Amino acid sequence: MAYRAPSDRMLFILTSLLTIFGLVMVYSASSVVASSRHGLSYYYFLRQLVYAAAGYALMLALMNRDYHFWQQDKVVGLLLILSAGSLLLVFTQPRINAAHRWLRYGSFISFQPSEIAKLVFLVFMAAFLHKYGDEINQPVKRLLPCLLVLGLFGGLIAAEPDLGQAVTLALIVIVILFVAGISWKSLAGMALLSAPAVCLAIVSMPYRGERIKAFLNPFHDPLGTGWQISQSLTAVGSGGPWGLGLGASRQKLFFLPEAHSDFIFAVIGEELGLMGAGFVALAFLLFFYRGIKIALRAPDRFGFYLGLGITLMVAIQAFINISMVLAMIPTKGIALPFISQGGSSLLLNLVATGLLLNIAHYAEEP
Amino acid sequence: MAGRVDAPHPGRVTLVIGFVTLWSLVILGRLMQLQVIKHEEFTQLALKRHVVTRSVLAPRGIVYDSHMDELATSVRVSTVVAEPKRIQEIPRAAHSLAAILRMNSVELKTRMMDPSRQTFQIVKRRIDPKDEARIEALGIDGVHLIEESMRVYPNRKLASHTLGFVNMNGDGASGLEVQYDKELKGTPGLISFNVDALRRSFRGNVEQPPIQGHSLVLSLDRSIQYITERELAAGVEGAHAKAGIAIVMESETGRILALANYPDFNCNKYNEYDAGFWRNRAVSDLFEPGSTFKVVVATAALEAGLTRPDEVIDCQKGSITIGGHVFHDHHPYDLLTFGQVLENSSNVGAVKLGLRLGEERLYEALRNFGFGAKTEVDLPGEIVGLVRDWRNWSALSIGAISFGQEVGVTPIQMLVGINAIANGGYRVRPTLVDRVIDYRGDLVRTRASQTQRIMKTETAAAVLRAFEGVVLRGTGKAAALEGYRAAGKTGTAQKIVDGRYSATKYVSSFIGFAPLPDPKVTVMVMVDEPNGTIYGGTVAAPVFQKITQEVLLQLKVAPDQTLPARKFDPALAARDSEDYLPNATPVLPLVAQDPRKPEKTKNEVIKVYVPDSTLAMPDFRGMAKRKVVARCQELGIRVQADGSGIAVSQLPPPGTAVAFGDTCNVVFAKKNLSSYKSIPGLTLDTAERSVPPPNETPGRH
Repeated sequence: MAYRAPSDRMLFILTSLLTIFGLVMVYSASSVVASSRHGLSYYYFLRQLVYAAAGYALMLALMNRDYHFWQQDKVVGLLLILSAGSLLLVFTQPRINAAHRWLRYGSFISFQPSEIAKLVFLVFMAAFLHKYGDEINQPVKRLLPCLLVLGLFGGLIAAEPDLGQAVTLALIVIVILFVAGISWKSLAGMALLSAPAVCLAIVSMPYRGERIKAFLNPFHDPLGTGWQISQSLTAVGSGGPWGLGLGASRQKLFFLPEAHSDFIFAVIGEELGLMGAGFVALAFLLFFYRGIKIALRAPDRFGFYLGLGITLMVAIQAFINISMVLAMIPTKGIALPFISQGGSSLLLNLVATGLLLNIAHYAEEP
Repeated sequence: MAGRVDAPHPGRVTLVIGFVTLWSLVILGRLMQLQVIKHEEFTQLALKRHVVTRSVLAPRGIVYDSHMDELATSVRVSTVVAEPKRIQEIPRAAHSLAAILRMNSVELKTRMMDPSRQTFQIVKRRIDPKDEARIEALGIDGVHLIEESMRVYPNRKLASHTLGFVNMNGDGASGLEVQYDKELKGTPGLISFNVDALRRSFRGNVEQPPIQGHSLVLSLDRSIQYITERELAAGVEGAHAKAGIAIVMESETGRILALANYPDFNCNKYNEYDAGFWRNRAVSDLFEPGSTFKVVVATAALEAGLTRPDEVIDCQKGSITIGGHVFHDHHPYDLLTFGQVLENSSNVGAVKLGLRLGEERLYEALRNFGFGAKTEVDLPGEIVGLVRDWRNWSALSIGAISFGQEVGVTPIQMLVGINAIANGGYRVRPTLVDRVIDYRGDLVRTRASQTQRIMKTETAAAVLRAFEGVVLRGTGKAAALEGYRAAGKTGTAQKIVDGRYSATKYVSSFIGFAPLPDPKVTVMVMVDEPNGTIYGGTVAAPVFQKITQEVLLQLKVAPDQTLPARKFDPALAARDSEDYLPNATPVLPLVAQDPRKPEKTKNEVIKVYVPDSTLAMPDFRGMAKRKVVARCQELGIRVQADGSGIAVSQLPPPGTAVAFGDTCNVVFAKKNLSSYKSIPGLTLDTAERSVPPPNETPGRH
């Protein structure tokens, strides 16, 4: 398989820039914490670099592999089984921060099955809708199986617990179904059915209620539940229009928890100001536009739905993350694609982009 | 699989695109709000979190005496502090620290293990400088030495009440240290640190260097202060008294050369004494001035032209009745000149002068002397004293106040008031600080002097002559100096205990000046609750003599060679130095004397008059209006005068029983003067005779 130039040069460059920018920001945001925790300021940067390299290689590989490979029933089936298996396997792992989200091998290699599961589900959805897209409004025959798989995956992820990932997945799926033409009635029915589940999920874990309270009033208890979000707002706000300068964040000095992972956007806002943060937000919007364009130009329904799913996955996660950092929605454990420190997320987003770029390869001019 | 497929529902795709676009716009708007609109707010918040500012105490100014000897200075000492959470082995650290600092090792360990105090705690403040190196040698991570400033008073107890002290936080807490705290303290410096969330500082920045405090140069003279303290202590101990105060002031200016309280305390170890020891009684204690106060009445009467220095006053065999109450002298004086009234401390004479003044003018005289107002001496805790407005006086007040009862004054007020006699009639503002200088020695400001003339020079001179008589012939013989002429006035006042005059507790005082004729210093000595002999002339005057004699030497005042050698017979002095202590207020205890001490004094000191509830209304007919008014004042009867001239009728009629405070309506007329002229034998009073018209030659009828 010979290397082929990327079909959508802009998306390729955009992804590469976001990844490199992410590496820089991870180093900036994590060096102090890294040297304090691991005695090596490059610790998180190096990890991220390894995953970025691997992810980049995989992206290039997938970019050059016909995406229809993934459409085959046996491939989808295998992926679903492996993915579900790894989601189950997670529960055998010791908890980290009161949750088992990672599969570990040694001390350096760890992986989040939920990240894979998301992509696998999108592949499944695309293949499913490719076949039965027109019959999606048959509740029992078509919609139910799809929702059952979603329920299984979402349920397993939510049980880790990682409600953020589960909700994000559900949101992506709903948007895909919406585009696929699901009737408003079905949509309302799904909302009604899922509402009790979401409420139960919130009630079952007290910290989720706390997060919602903190979200509603971040400065009510700035030393307790509102700590993270108030520190995040302080970081972004003190950055001002132009930022304090790359590397000059103060909030990353143990004030802002998860400054290099989930809250890296706050450090971007602090160090690079409105200019930097705005550009990052616009970059994801651009990614979204390019992705939608690729999907719309896909030669078939599978390509369309897969492209749509991947684009939505990146964009929705990005905007959820940014909205969370800016206290527009309650805190969720959602990473900023390509940028947040976190190997699985980076790897999977690069893999997904590889798929997207391959779809673009088959794009047809309108 | 060829051929492009359209989206199944293009409208819905557009909807999704629109929604995501809108979302990103909302995000951009939010960024704008946070980073542009609320940027300042968050910057302040971040600063508050990221930067801690610590103030650094500036070196405190020095307190010098008038010869630039240090009375208070500061030294650098170290305090041991610990951050237990950073200490690896707390038990071992506690053990080593306790051994060096001579502390209880178990107690220290418990304290350092206390989970609530893991961030920072003081191990020991102000450690011995010798231990500093040993602590540093331990090299325990999380144990530090912090430099602090400690106030040191090289002369220990000297002038302790005046200097005061500085508390552990470096704030002046008493005396001049608190009065001039702002100036002495200087301006603390500011150092800012950047800190991380774990409060670890990583960049220090001197925002503002500390500015050393100003220094004070006092008018206090260390040698004079020492002499004063030594003699006061001896006097108080000798009289078995509770406490004492002595003040030496420059008569002309009000500069205080020495101010002593006894018992005293060591400023360096102030917390080893009860707080009561710190109080500067000279400004914060109230007492009844007693006989010394007669000078106020005498001076005011002279000023008002109501008497003359050579006037002879009938002291009525030592008793006078006011408002139905009889005031006594200790000797049944008959005729005394103005000067002799002061020399012999005649209550009757003083009361008569007071009556001539009347309530309002007497009150004004008090205020003029500075009683009932702060002297504004530069010491903290000065009180105003207790001088009732004359409109609130009782019928007896005018008599009581004339010889120093029913008023409360501070020693410093007394000193400043009487000092006007010494300097030709000026009330001066007493001060302790001559100059405030900065750390380079440059002048910041000089003392806040203030003088106000309160009497004519001649008046002051006349009273001064009388005061010299007190020392030469009167109650203050023990104050006589060798080689110098001195003047002064004794005072013996009963203390008020539980609202009643105490029969056993006195305050003995002497205020004097030397050398005459142009006094340099005014010296006050007060002894609180002497036991045994109680009179100002025997308890306080000798202390005055000892202090003043040496102070004049210190001030290099040449002795007057023409003076005869001083002949001082203590026995003689004691016999003649007794003030009489009248009982002014009818509510006082009616126990004549403490039966356990029946023979304490030769003279019956405590004569208590049980007032009659009634007395007979005198016959005013034929008397001049002025005389009627004076007579009524003496009796405590109010007069409702109608007309002018000679009294022609009165209601109630003569002989009627009246209580004091009652009102008598008297009608005066000018007509037919002769018919009412002088009805002999009608006037039963004797006091009347001593109230001559101001222009009349004094004489007896």
